[in-house]
Amino acid sequence: MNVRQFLNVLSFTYKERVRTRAFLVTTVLMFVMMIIVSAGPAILSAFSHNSPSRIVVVNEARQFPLSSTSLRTQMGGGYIWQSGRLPNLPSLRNELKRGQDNLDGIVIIQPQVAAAPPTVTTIVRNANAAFVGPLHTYLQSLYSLTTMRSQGLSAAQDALVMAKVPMRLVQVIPTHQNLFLPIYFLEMLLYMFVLIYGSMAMMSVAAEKSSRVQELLIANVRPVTLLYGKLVGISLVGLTQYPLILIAAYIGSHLTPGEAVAAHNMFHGLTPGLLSLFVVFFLLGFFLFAMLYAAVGSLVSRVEDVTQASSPITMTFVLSFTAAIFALGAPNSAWVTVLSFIPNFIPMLMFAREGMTAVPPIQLAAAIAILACSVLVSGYISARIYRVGVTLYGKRPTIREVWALLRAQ
Amino acid sequence: MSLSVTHVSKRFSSVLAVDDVTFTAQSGQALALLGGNGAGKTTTIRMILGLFAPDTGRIDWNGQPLDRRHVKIGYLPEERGLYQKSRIIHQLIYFGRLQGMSHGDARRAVLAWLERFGVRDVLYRRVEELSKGNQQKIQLIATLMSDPQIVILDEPFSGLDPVNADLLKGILMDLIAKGKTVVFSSHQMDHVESFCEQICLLKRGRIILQGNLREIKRGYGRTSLLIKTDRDVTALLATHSGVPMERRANGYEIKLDTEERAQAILRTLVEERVPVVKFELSEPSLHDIFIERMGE
Repeated sequence: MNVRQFLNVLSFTYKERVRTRAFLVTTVLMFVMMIIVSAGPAILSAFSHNSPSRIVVVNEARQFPLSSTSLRTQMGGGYIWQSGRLPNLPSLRNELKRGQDNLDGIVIIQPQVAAAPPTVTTIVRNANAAFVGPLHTYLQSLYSLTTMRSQGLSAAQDALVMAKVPMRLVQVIPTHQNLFLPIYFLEMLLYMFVLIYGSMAMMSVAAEKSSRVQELLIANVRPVTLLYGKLVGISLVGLTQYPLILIAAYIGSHLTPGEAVAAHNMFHGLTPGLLSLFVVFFLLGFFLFAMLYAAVGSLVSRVEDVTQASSPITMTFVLSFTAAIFALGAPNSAWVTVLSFIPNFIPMLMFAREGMTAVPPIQLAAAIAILACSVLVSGYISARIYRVGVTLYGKRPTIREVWALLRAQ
Repeated sequence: MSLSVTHVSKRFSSVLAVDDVTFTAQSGQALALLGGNGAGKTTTIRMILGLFAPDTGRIDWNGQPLDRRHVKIGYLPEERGLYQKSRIIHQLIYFGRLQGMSHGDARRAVLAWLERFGVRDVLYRRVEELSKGNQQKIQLIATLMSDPQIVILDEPFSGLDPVNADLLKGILMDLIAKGKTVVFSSHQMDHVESFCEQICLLKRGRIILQGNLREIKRGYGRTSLLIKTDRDVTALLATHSGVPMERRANGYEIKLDTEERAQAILRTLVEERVPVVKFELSEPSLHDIFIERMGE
């Protein structure tokens, strides 16, 4: 391969991409969206701090001593507890529906006959309202306490019965649940980058072929040089956008001042190692898929045919993204471990594992080595297909025809 | 200096695309590679360019195997292609650099050629904004800008109006005068006739006719007769049976089997007192030879 020619192709490919208005627009859009996404949690939390939710408690069970003060002490200061009356329930429900004055829930406690415990009905706006679980636990213990009192237990005995059992949960392999969001985000980014730049490579090859610029190029440059120069050039376009996205994320997560930053910084805990690993997996993943995409691009004669022809390749990558999303929740499961050594799954799954848990260094190194070897193999095969493909016009060749041509070489 | 293709064959699975082709193109001359669609012209050109290796035979430049690293070839493909969204200056410099030029040389060559073609103003335009004729000029600049020793032009006149065709003719004459080796492939026989001393006619991968165009024509003899008169002489000419005749707007075109028959026709016309404006006996045109040989 001629290095000078390779650099010529590379720099032309890079400049032509970066010069386009489309590149400028998408980069600015990505930058702005990144700031919004990363500033989101902090903005939301600042917003909810200003106006705490209101919960109305309708207590009809006289034997049940419940006051706003005790609720506030037991449930923390995030809510305003008010007492309401049963006849007002219809109007309260309407208020709740409209979310009026931050009303987030109604709790109705009604007595039952004889010694049965009272029934508690909680009406909420959002099914996942955060106060429901702790409130139910509190009401349960309150019932136990009043029952024990009525059975004649002393305060000291109460305390003994109600004492909390200290419980600890220890994972053999620690998972970094606090990194779920940022890793999820990086997985998305990895997926988008490989697909966007992979198909950019494919479209570029197909466009050169269908516009016949190819004829002029291959008269002067060896097809292999042309292919590799093009792919490296496009990967550099991706690497230009990546730091910009990180900068936007950094700015976004530091936009809101004060303690909100530390508590809600989405990227808190992401190490430089992990961010570098992203680059490694982006590059290897990109080259693996872009090589295959480019081979397909070189076989079609019309740009319109290229998406359909490449769909099997796209499917395998979409599959690996789906698997990675499940893997984030269960990074230590056996299937994730197995899949994270299969070439087309490696970029997404190994990154998910490394982000969410501790992967033995030897496994990480092995996965990277497998991926790098696959890139070399797909690069070799693609270059051979490309060399034949770019001179073929007319009907899209079948796999058998391509195979015959490769053997004839 | 010469480009020689010697006993070259190329097979694509079951199709023998080029079958034992031999020809030599001298510097300072133009060689026309002729033939219908699928005759093997493009495959032959691609082998010269080094895109395919011949199955058998050799391709030499000055007696040595042609090495693309040392010999510059300017190639104008039949199917024109440029980057539609790219600016002229950017892509022409790119093509120049791929042909081994430095950035500065490429830029200077682009400016000089644009000047010569009278399209200096398109420098920063995108290809998609240009007329077809101007795109054709840009494509030619991409072919010629690196001052190649061998120039291969596939249908260079298609898409050019008469003014630009004349401009191109001048440029090609210039290249030939400068001692370039020009290989020319075209279906427009009148252009081929005005440039090429050597022709090489291919049919289904094989050479069916080759050599010096003048000599080939001479071999045919003067068997093409043009008669111009205001009178309808169809019936009169029909008496010379066995002579195919075509009536054209400018007179009668007659293909003769022998030169002597022309004299007999002339005698008949004089005897019948036909007012003859033009009576021209000439060698067949390349077009006629092409049609005749391809039909065989």
